[in-house]
Formats: sequence, C-alpha cells, structure tokens
Amino acid sequence: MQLKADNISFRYNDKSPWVLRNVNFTVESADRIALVGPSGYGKSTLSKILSGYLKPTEGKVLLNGELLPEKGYCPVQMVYQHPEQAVNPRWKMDKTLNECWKPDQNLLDSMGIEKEWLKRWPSELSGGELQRFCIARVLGPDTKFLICDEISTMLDVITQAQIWQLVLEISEERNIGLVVVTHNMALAEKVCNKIVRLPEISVQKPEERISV
Amino acid sequence: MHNDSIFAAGSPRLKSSGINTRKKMIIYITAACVYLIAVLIAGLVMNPDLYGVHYENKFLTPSFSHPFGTDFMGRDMFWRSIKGLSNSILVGLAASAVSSVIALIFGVAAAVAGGKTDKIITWLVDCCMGMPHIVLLLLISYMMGRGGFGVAFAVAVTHWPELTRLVRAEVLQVKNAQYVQAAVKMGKSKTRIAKEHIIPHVLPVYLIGLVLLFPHAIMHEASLTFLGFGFSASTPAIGGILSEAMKHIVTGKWWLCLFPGLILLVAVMLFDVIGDKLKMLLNPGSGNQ
Repeated sequence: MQLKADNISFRYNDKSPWVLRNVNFTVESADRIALVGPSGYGKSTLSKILSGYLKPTEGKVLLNGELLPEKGYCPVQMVYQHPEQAVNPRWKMDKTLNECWKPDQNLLDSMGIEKEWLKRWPSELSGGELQRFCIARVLGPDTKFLICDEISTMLDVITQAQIWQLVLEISEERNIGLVVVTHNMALAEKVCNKIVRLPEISVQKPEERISV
Repeated sequence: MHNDSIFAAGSPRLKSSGINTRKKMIIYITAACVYLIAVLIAGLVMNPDLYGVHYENKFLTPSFSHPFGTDFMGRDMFWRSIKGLSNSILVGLAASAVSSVIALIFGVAAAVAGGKTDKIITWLVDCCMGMPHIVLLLLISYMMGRGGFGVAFAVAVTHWPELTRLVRAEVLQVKNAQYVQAAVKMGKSKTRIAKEHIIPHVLPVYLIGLVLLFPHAIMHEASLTFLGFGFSASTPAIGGILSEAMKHIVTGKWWLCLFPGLILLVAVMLFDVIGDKLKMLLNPGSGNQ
C-alpha cells in the first residue's frame, strides 16, 4: 500500500496566507515517517489532510493511486494530540474503545489499559490513560496507515517508550504505515526510518526529503 | 508497572454509606414534581363552588375553614389561589411545549444548515432578545384578543430565543467535536452519529432549558394578568388576585396578597430547583456523585 501526498497546498480561504505549499511525499506500508518542523509550519494541518479531515486547496491525497474514500472506515486513521477532546465525555470507556473494533485482551494488556478503567467516564482518567484508548481503538484490522499527531507529548517517558514499542510492533506485524508528527528529534530518530521536514512557507520551495 | 496505576489504586473512593447526592436530588425532584402536579390536577378537577361568591363571608382572616382567608366577595382564597396557580401551570405547559419545539427546530436548523439560515435565525433571536420581553407579550396578547387564549399564545411564542441559542451552540459544538469527526472517519453513518453522539449531548441541555422555561412562562403570565392584559377578572389567576389585593392592602388585608404571592413564588422556585438538579444529574462531570 502507498499513501501519496501529491502536490498538496492548503489555505483556509482565498485571502488567507498559504499554510502548506506544494508538499509532496510518499509513505509506503513499511515506512515510518517523521514529520518535523517548528510550530506553525502546518504539521497538524498536513496530518488532517492526509487522514481526510480537511480537503487540500490544491493537490490530492492518493491511497494506492485513488482518492481517500469519503464513506465507510477510512484506512488512514489519525490519533489526536488531545485525547480528552477525542473521546465522547458521555460515553464510558469501553464503549469508546469498541467503537470500531474489538481489541483483544492481549492488546489491552500490552497497552497498559486496566480492566477497571473500562467502567469509568473519560473525566475520571488522565490524559495519558485516555491516549492509550485513542490509540487502541484505531489499531483495527482495516487501518492501513496511522497518522500520529504528537500522540505521546502528554505521557511520561516510561509510558511513551511502552506505547511506541507497541505501536511499532503492531505496525510491523500488520504492515501499517506510520506518519509521526513530533517536535522531539530524539524520538523521531528512534522511531522512524525517514524524516520529512516541512519548509518555511515564504520560501515556497518544494518539499525536501531527507533519509536518515 | 508504571506510575499511573499506583496512583489509581491509591485514589480515594466515594463513600457508599447513607444517601448520596444523586439519591437526594432524585428525592428533591420527585417532591417538587408531586407538588406541582398535585396543584395542576387539583385545579383541573376542582368544583367551582369551592371558590364561589359568599357575601356573608367577606374579608375573613385566615382560619382553619379558610386557610388563606376570603376576599371582598367572600370567595375562599385558598381554593382560588390553587385554581389560579393551576391555570398558570397550564399556560406554562403550553408555552414550554410550543416554545421548545420552535427553539429545537430553529436551533438545529441554524447549526446544521449554517450560512444564510444561520444568519437569519441568529438575527431573529437577537431581535426578540433585544426587545423588552413584557412589551412584546403585551402587544401579542392584545393582538390575540387578550383573555386566556391571548396570554397563552403570547407567552408560548415569545420564549424560544434563549433556548434556540442554547440548542444552536450545543449542536455546533458537538458537530465539530473531534470525537464526532473521528466517528465519521471510522465509517459511522449520519443517523448513527446523530443517535449515539449528538442527541445524547443535546437532549439534556434541551430538557433543562425546557424545565427552566416554565418559571419564566408562569411569571410572565402572572405579570400580564396583573397588568390587566391576561385572564379576565372572572377567571382565577394569581396575577389577577394580586392586582385585586393591591386595592385592599392599604386597609390591612394582608392575607390577600401574601399567600397567593407565596405559592406562586414556591412554584417558580421549585421549577428552578428541578432544572438545576436535573442539570447536575445529567452532566457526566457531576453525574457520579
């Protein structure tokens, strides 16, 4: 499988400045790409475009040469930066966890999700605990690419390591391509096999692609 | 083991002994509902002779046979007040039913359609909220020929703006929430998202708004009648009773305004209590207390 950002440009309306300009890169299933760049360079916007939440102003996102499906389960899934906004506050955790597939007990154990948490409201869990649910619920069999937008920023270092270990294991086992958005260069070098830097927009040069 | 689970195990548990807040609230709500329904039904099935004219009993002070005293025509104020409050609750019911449906339709339409529809509805809301409510009520009530129908109509069609605003804001907020967007990407259908995410989020706000609309409607009916634009003098109504009592208060007939005023106040406050407690019960943040 291949996820291709084909000459993507984005701005919010006709008068606003460009957030992204002519971004090109390709993610293969075996790839683990880090998307790095300072704040405000459009990393989160690009993640949203790649996973179909936003429509690019120009260019397109191609999955195996076709546009992302509008209906049904999207094979490109995104995990948000703020888990507390990504779960329904009126649902107990087990409903959120099982929203699109039924993760087995093994996965829950290795994610460090405790059984007792399933009976709680989201307001009774911490950000890090919630983030595990958000990751677990999109690791379903239909997910082909996973966009991780700063997913481990709110976790302590040990949990970060655990979660990344697991995400890497699962992505390898199921052949899921990863796009990792992060500020943390050490993490990017550890987790990913390619790094894509978003250029400053005023320069408007085509996307650099550097392999590590 | 990681740190989080250690903290989780040490977190304080809520005490399960005695009556918890939730139960206490349910008791409050039930008591308030029972009182209001009892007044409503008593008023509906009451024999009009109970507050009939008895000139021989003019201006009796409160006693066991006439708990609220009698007025200048010898009518028993207790039964008259109950009947009047019952009428007020009826008007409140009509107002809530009509206004909340208008609010729901407008609010959802504004949030879902957006663009011009949203602008027009928001403008209408601003218009209605910018005008003094009582003036609008007077005009509509007068136009509709005063009396019971006039006041009910006026109160019913003027209480939607606040609720419309509330419903619109809630629908907009939940529609753009990350978890709803994520559900779309997980391939959930529109009806399923509406049923599982949006309605459970908007319904409590709507219900609370509906309950809190009641005291407003009742107070406005009473004010209209007090000013002489509402129920006719022959129909018992708290507003009418109070405006009659104004004439006699200088001669020391205190019971004519005290008791009817009190039961109106209690009814209004009870609706407020019900609304507030419902809010706490339905809010996930405080729902577990």
